Amino acid sequence: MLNYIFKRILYMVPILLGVNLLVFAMFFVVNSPDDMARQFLGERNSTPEQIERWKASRGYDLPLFLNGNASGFSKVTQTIFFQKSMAMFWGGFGNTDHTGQPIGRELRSRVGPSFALALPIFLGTLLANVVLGMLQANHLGSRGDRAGQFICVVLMSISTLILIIFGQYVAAVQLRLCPVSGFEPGWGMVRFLVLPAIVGIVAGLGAGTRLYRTFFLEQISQDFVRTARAKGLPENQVLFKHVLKNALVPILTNIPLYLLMLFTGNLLLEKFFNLPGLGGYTIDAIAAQDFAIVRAMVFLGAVIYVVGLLLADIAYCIVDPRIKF
Amino acid sequence: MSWTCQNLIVLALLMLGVWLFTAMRRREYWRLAGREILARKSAVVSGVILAAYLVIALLDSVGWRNAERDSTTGELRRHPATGEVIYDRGASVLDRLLRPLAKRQELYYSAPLAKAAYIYETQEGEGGAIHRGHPALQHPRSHLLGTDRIGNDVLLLSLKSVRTGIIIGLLTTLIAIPFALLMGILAGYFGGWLDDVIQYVYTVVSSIPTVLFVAAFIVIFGVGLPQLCVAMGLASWTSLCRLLRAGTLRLRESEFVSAAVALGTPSWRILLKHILPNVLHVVIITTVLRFSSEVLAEALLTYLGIGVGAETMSWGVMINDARSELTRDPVIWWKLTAAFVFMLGLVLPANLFGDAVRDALDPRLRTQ
Amino acid sequence: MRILKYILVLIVLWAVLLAGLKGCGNNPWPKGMAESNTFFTSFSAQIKSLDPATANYVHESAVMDNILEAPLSYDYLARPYRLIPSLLEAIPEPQYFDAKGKVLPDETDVSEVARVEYVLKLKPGVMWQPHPCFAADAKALVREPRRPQDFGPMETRELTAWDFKTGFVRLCDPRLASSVYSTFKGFVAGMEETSQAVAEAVAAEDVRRLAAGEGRAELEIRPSVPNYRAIPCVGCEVLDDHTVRFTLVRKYPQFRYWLAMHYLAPVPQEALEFYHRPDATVAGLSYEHWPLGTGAFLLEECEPNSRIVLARNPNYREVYYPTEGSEEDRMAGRLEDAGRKLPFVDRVVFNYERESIPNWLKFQQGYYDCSGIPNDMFDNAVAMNPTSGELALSGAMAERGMQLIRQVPPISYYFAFNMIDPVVGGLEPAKRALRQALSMVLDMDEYVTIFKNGNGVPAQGIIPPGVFGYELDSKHFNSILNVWDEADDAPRRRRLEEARALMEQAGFPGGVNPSTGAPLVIHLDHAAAGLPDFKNRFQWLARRFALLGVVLEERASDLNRNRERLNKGDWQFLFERGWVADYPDPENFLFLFYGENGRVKSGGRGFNYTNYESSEFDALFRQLEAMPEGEERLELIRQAEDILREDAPKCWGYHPVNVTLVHHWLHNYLPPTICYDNLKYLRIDGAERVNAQREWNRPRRWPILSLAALFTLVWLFHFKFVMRNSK
Repeated sequence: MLNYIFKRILYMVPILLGVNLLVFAMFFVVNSPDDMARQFLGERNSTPEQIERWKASRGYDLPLFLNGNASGFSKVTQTIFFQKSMAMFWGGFGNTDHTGQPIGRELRSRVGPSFALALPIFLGTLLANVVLGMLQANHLGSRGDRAGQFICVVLMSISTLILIIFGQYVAAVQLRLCPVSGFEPGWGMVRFLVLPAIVGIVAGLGAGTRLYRTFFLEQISQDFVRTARAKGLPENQVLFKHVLKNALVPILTNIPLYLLMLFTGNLLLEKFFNLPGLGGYTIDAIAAQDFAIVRAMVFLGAVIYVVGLLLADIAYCIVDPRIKF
Repeated sequence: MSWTCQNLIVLALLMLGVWLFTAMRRREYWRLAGREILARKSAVVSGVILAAYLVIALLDSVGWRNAERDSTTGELRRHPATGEVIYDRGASVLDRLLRPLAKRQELYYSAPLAKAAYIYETQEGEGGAIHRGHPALQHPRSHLLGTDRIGNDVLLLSLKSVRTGIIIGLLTTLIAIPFALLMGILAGYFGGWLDDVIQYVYTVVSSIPTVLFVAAFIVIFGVGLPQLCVAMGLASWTSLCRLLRAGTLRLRESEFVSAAVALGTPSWRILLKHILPNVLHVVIITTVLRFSSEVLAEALLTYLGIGVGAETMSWGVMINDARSELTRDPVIWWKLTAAFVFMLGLVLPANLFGDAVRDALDPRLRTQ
Repeated sequence: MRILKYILVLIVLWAVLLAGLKGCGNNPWPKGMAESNTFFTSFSAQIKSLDPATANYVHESAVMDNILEAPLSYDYLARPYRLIPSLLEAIPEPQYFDAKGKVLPDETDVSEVARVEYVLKLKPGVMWQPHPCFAADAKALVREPRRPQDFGPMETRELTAWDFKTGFVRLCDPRLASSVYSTFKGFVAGMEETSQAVAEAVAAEDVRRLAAGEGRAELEIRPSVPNYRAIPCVGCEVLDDHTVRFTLVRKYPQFRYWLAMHYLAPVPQEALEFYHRPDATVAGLSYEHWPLGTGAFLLEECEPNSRIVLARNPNYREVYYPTEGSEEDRMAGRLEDAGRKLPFVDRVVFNYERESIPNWLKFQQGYYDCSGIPNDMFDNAVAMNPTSGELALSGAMAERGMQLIRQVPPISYYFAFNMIDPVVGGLEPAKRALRQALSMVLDMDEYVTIFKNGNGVPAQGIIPPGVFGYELDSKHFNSILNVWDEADDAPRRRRLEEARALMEQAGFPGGVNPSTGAPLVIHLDHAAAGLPDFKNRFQWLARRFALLGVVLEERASDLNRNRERLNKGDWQFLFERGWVADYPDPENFLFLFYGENGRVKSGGRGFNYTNYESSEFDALFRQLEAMPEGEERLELIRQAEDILREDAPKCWGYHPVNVTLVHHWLHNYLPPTICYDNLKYLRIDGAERVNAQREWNRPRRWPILSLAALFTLVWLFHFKFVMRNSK
């Protein structure tokens, strides 16, 4: 098993390399540094000299893959791919295209708020989905199940945008229980995070519960559950010991996807509630077409996702020993 | 896209549908499933509603162009040099049916079935007193769902959005399914280097956040409905693929597959006979779950400025407008409500129908 | 045992709930902030630069102009706008010279003037804000510095004429690509030579650094800072420590307005050198984000992605609140602080609000001190007084003591035609008729009513209200497109039939293009697909054009491609655009039509996007440009405007009306229009604000509590049910 985990960790490297290459292709081959320079220089005068200067000041004037002018090792290192793309492996995110500020520092200061929002949403959604999904699956066909199903579908049909506006209106304007938007470092952040977290959980509830319900249904209809029930095991034990444990495999498969969605799915929440997190940073970067930031964010997203995959795979081994490697 | 081209595509899709239907009718398995679906009242009702939506979308996709006529003499207009007849820009069947609705233009917001516009105007009352009042509508009490900011009938907007919704919901998943099915099953069943390669590909693609992927795609290929569908399809096949692989992985360990392997059944037969039917419900569930989320994602992407173009009407655009309308006082609720109801009217039956289909197709759940 | 478990769960839940509810409240600021003497406001677009040489946007000026000062400023209350000296002892008077160097009288004709000199006398004793760059031995005080304040010690020095020169020479630095360089160099002497000299100095410095062993990469990360003071510059010369002289190559009275623009603000060489230090570069500091000035406020915190905080400048000189104002100012209480020392507030917090709705809600709750009214909120906020017909605040807001300020800023919006386009361009009578017809059907009264809630004045030409030359009466309006409505005492669009007749004159009877037999198609070029209201506006335009039988098609592109199209002249009809006055002079608007400024002609640099070129207009423009205000100039402006109305290179849109709401504890607020150094005039009544915030935002806890009570009941029933079953 340790051997397997070690292999998986090694496996992360080529994946990140692939992402790196894909991102590089998207941001440097399809959209050339010249395009970037023109986009950035904007209303200011973008003459060829200024484009060259802009590229030089940001290190985009190098050849893409191979530097014929350099010698030896620096044939490879003195290229955009090495300096801008590969450098991200050792944390060299570089500076933003627009303001020239170090991206790495900004990311470090923004990971906290993002995580502070993502964690409660993740845990809350998981808990709610498991509990509600199991309740529905266990009372399959009952009036409660049908009502629950219907509510799920209704929830799924509501745009997050509407949920946010409605949430802000009720909680912050009518009940005045929490601020409309904003942020404060330290423990004070709790009151800013409660509302977006609740909105985030509600937004994911419909689809999540339906999915988890089907996971549990699959298990409940299996023979070993019937056997367990026939044995006279208490219902609690049947559900938690047998059903939940066996449903864990598909649930775990979903978790890394969840992690990724938390990272980008909170774009909207962070923007609306004005949280200084990664999502808001990304939106600003898209709007301002700051490729350096978008590049860094895509790479970071990939790292989070790949780590999530690794964790899920490890969890697989623990939960379902039948899976051979 | 020209009307001829569009009409041909619709025709081809219809023929494909009919062929699939007849092919399935010939098989016992699907006939049984069909009978089971028909036995469910909710599924039948949902199916009818879905069919209605589909018909609206089809009517809005089929159309033709008319020859232009001179407004005074009524003669056909011709190109002065070549003498070719000049055609107008054309209209779909739905456009033609809804023409009376489209002609009832107003200037501004008006509530459903209202007599007066929602706008304030400085009016002179009795005795020359100046006050702010509502000007009368040109077509009072005729807008079932009210009018929007520039006086378009909201019912008309909602109906015109049906096509966009159906296309986004269907096309996106249709693009994703072949990739996902092929790769997921192969990876899960064969494992080894094939699994590694496929996992590698989908992990790399899925590691790129969807929003950013779509944004990059749209920036390169421009804003539009087809581009959006392709971008969303390419970004989303990976999740289905992952689920399918996990499912296949578990099936590979099951007794009946082990037995088939022991009996020396060729792999492709196992894949087709044992694996595919047993993971099909995953495809259907995902498709159903995705149908609504794709339609909703359109609203989000529109909000980020990377949705459909300005000439395409969609519920996403309507909801997006409603963001600011909701904070008005008194609230402009009818546009949001219309988009919401029409969307719910599509998503809810789709889910119920999908449930019925899943129950019918999943042999293990059939007994219940 | 079981019952204990059930009750324990209940107790824990209630404890968490009550504790949580106790801490509830919707105050978005940290504790104690509302009590302090702080002004809370917001910015809605990302701030890219606070460098006086490169900041071009209004929301950047709103921050920056309070940190650094230009030589001149505007009187806070006086309307029409009046210049006042801020860093200078007096407003400089130009001195004219002919080619031989002989002094000429003021009223000399433009053609005779060969050289103009402006001599600026600095006020003595103006000190820079405290900054580590003035200390010889400044070093980082913390491990990971993020602000200049993290370095020490902080010192200051007196402002000298050399700082003006540094600021000016930086405008010529090709690396900064200042947007005003191309405009300025047409007037100020020797700017191109200076630019050349800067480039040489930078190159020399690069060579020196390379010789000293620094790598190429290092040069890129920390671009060289030349000694700007030592670079020869004919246009801007230091005469002594307190005197600087600007030399212009032609007569240009608007230069005094330039002196009030932040582009000519002084910059200390020490600061540039400080930000060039390796430890400052590593900390991410730059002049773009940490400008240093002499203004009333210094930059305390600069996070362009979340918030910017300004604090009172301890070295600020003696400046007093204006003592003169209009009757309206007196009524609004804006003269209560007359003669008092500025500034009044200790701190200003700018919060980045990406969305207008949260911004508006927070203002309603009293957490922002003032706010513009979002378009959609207008009906809600404002009602018309039935007797006077004046706009006034509606009930709830009037009850809360909010004040409404309505103001027409010097801004013009318009839809432009491309004058070099084969279909809509050209000065032939037929093309002119086409543009007039298309403009005529775009009824701006209706447009403003629908899309701006009536908050706009339909434009008659390019010059906006508040700027010399703007007139609106039965004799001076756009009679090409409008007729004067005596009853309303306002212009009204001509009837549709007249527009149709014009189409016939244009050779498109019924909107049909005779060469193809099909309807005429006009392309709307834009990069506005993402704007919330774009779709509606496009439909409105298309609907209006359809009245003439003309088809409007959109041609969307991103900002980048759109710009390229503009530069190449590859477009037809441009979506709504606006021009905000840099200074209150008609020249700043009429130059948008000067032939030499043509976008294509000037290689993508000029601001004449329409590529309009008329020798008649150009001659008038050259003449009125250098004239003093007066009846004679007014007459020329009227002629120029009439030519533009006749040629219709743009569909004249509207002048927006700003409606701002102010809470009763904020005093002296006027929405900034041309000059953004308004923060020092503001006064806050902190105690009042705290009371109001508390009063308006009492949390309503009962819905949550009743939900919890309901849950408790269900829980107990469940318990009963379980107990019965287990028996």
